[in-house]
Amino acid sequence: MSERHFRLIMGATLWIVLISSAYYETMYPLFVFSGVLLFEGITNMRLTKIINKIRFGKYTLDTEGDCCNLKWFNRIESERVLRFIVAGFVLIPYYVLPDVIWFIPWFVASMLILAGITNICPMVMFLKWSGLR
Amino acid sequence: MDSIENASKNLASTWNGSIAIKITAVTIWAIVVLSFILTVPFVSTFDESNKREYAWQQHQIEEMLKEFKEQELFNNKISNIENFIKNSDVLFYKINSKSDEIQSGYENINNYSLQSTIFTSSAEYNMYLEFPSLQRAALLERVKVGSSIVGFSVIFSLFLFWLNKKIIHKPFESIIEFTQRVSKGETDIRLNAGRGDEFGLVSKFLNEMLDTINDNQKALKLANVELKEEIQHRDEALAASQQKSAFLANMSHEIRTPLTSIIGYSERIRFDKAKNRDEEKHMLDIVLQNGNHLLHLINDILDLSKVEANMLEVEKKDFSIIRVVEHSRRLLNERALEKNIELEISYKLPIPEKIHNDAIRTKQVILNLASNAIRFTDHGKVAIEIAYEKDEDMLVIDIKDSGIGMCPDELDKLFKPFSQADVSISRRFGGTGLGLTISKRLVQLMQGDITVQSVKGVGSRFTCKIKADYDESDNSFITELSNDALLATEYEEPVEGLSLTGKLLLVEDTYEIRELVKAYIEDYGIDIDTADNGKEGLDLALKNDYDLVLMDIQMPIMNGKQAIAELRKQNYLKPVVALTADALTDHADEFTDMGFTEVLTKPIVINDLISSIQRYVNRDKNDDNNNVAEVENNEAEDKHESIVSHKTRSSQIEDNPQDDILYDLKIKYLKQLPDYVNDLQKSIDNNDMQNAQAILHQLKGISGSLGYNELTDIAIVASEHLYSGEFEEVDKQISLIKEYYLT
Repeated sequence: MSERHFRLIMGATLWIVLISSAYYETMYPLFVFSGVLLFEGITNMRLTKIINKIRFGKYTLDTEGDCCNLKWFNRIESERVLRFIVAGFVLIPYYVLPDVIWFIPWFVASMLILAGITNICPMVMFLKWSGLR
Repeated sequence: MDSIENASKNLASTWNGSIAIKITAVTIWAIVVLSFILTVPFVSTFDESNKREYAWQQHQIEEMLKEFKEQELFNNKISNIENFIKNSDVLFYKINSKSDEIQSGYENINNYSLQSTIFTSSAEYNMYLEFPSLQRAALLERVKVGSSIVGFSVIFSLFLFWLNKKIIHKPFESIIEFTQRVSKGETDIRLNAGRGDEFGLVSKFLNEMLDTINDNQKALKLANVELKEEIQHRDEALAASQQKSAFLANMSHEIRTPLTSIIGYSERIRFDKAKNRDEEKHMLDIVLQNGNHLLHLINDILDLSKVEANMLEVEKKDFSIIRVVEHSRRLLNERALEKNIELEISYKLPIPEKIHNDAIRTKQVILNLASNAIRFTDHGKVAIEIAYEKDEDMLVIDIKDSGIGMCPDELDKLFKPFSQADVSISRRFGGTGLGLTISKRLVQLMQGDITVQSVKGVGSRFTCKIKADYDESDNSFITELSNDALLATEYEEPVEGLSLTGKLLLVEDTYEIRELVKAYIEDYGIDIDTADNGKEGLDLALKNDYDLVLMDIQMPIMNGKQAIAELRKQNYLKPVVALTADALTDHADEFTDMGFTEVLTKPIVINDLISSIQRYVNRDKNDDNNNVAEVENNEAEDKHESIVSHKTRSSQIEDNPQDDILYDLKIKYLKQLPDYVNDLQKSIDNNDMQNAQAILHQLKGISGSLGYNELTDIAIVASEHLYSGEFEEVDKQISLIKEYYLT
């Protein structure tokens, strides 16, 4: 499983989660979704890596570049940071000005799906441009 | 395409990859962002709009209630109101009058509620309605909007992706594939330039570019081929130049060596240094031998010139190959004896009595090959075998020697002109390296070929095959050879003891040659008159009854060509033999077409001259008539070689006072030489080039005939420079004459 597939699945899941949360007037799906992403971001035990490990016996996506000679900032993987950002963008609008920035989770869901379709993720590009691995 | 696919995997981080995807992504991002921005203002007014919507629904219900009487309402006849409420946003309603009450749904204090009182003519109603809370309504609206945007963006992005792939990615892909194939060298392919957009233009220009590249490549290849050819020609020319330089150096050696003998021994004889008559004869033998060698050398050079100019020709006639071989035997025997090696000539019978080809050239080839074999053999023997292959009508001449042999590298350049297998060879064994070239060319002209096998240090074998048709009607083959038959074919000296009667006119502008020829032929009993130009010769020939006229070609007042034309015009039917110094080209046909009976080439060889004269004057009655025919045959075949035995030459000198005459002629010539040179110089100074050429021609002819070959060469060179207008070079040649002959 590539990050592209993961982004497509993550976007679609977020879309479903947002709809279900609204209809059932419950925040649990959002908490679960954000919790999973935060867990991945904190532990770096990402679903993609785990699935690749199961399928191919190695973390195929974690071999990019030589991380040993880099500064701490440059050693952080952009994919990990992306999880934090997505989780933040989903949760924050429900607590801060929900009537004004209610659209941000929907926007994130849209962009994740588009990133999955096109394999172009502006956020990852920005993160890598800023120096993350 | 692999690289493109790999690049697209890194799109998330590097922005490298398909332009169609980039366009899709950017477009969709823009649409998504714009959609959300446009939607936000509308969603913020959802509360007010919901309030208005709820109030409107309340008003509709009120209007319907006004139409009902009290009993009707509570007797379950409100189905139309219930239907309306089901389709509206009403979650709970309660309607009551003074006597009764109806309600439906679940009451919830969080819901948005509206109350009102309706007065009709028959009753008074109190109505309580609950709608969804304004917050939830807004939330559901946001879900609708958000889901719509996400759904739309997904669907639209897929559509856009498909569209971009078709419109942009496919043409790009075809161009990329095209450029890839072109870069691999497939320059014959072309793009479909039928599209009306930029891709069509790019395709068109790429095709045109490829056409131009193809044209340039073709031109470049052509230029390259031409350049290679030019380089090859240049290399060949350089190699030929080097070979010719080496050849000239070798030639100089070849020419100067016999000249040294000729000049040295001539001087010794002239100043009576010989101790007795025998020694003098010996010296004269050497002079004649070397003179003949020089003549042979010059003939070779002339033949080579003809080879290079593709002017070498063969004259096919019926001849006896045994006769030709036996004529060569004596000369080859002499050479073999000199080197103390054995010469073996054998015939593999049967052989046709007569074969059809060029006898003289066949003899030349045999002599060349056999002489080479003898030259390069120090011990052992040289074996010549003559055979005939009846199936192919080919004469096979097989010449084997036990000489020095050659290695394969040396064999490769064996038949190239000016090149002997090894430069040192010419120093050790002599020879110019022309014989094999000429022989090869001659044999090819005679529809044959020469092959060679050789082992270094062991020996060589030259096999020469010549096309030799024979007369099938005659069909006479020699199956047995007796010694008598072979002896009958041996070379016989034609001029020894010959006596002729007749009257002859010699037309020659050069005094020395006139006197020389006169001296040569008067001894054979022929009366001779002389004339020094064509006009005088013409008058004499018409007035007197000459058996033969010998006529020079280049003469003052009237040249030989004009004279013969005039003679034939006046029905002069007697034979006229042309004497020409131009031996470079074959003029025989040209001269006979003019009216000459025969052509003789200078320097005049006495045997050729006498043989020619014999054909037209009467022989003494004492001579054997049979001998005449044989002499003619032999002379005709030996014309090219002009091989005269030393014995014959010696006896002529001994019996006749010709050497004294020759000496007198030389003395006279040397006395006249300053006048010739002065006249030449004056003619050049006066710009009278015709006279200058005439003087040089005289110098050339006289010097050659009297044995001043260096002077002849100088005159030839000066003549060529004069013809080219290089007067400084002419002056140099005149200076050479003055330096060597007038000081």
